[in-house]
Amino acid sequence: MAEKIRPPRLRISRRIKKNKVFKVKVKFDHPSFTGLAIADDTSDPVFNRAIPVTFIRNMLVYYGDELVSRLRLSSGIADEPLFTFKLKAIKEAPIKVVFIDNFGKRWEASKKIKFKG
Amino acid sequence: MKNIDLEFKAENFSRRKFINYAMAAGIAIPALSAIPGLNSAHGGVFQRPKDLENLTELERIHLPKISLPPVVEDGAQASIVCSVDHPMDEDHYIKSIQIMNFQDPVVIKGKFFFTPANGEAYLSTQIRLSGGDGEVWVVAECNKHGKWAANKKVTVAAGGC
Repeated sequence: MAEKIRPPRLRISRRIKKNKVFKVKVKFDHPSFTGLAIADDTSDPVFNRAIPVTFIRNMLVYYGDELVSRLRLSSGIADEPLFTFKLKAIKEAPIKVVFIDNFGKRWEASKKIKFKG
Repeated sequence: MKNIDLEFKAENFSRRKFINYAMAAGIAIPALSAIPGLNSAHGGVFQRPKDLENLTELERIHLPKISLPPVVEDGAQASIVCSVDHPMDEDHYIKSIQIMNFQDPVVIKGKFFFTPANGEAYLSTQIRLSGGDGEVWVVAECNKHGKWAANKKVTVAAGGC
């Protein structure tokens, strides 16, 4: 369980070629609680809201100034998640990933794409 | 100007009429949903392959691939990889991938929206699963051919919800 929230870290391959697809990895140490606890497990488990729900609500991916992807999440995502997705290298521009949690707090990480070869 | 439809009055809507309309709707709705053209429209209907052993080309490029271990020790950190072998052209691409588990109290885990700039419809993350046997569903939505669903059975030793 994530005790502290740390800024997101972005990892991109160093060998990116133009018009090729590459992987983007983003690690974000953010807690995720469903807030649910089993109230009655005698037959079918019955859940109630024991603690406030905390989770990452949105992840936005910008390539240059363009919003290229977006992820809408729930509390069903694990603690400290690592997201991996792909992008097509069409231009040398920064990649920015923005996270917004269910309290409206915002974090971001960015890295510039440079072509090799 | 008088409109005939507006003259419809509640007191004229007898019990017999209600039963007749309900019966007509009961026949019409299943009959309409059986028409393949309507199923492939962008409704809430998920498409599934007819034969998993012999996929057609349309089914092969739209069916989501799920990589998830059959047994998960810790339900709080279940790694999942979802991908679709679909072209990501400007006019034909995968719009979204959604991950769900109907056995969990939090059914929808997340929905990833793609654009052609992604190059490939691919997502890897970690999800929470409740203990016991369950089925994880992944729904991929194509901008032309609607929603396609695939599922994978999973047994979770220690629930993470």
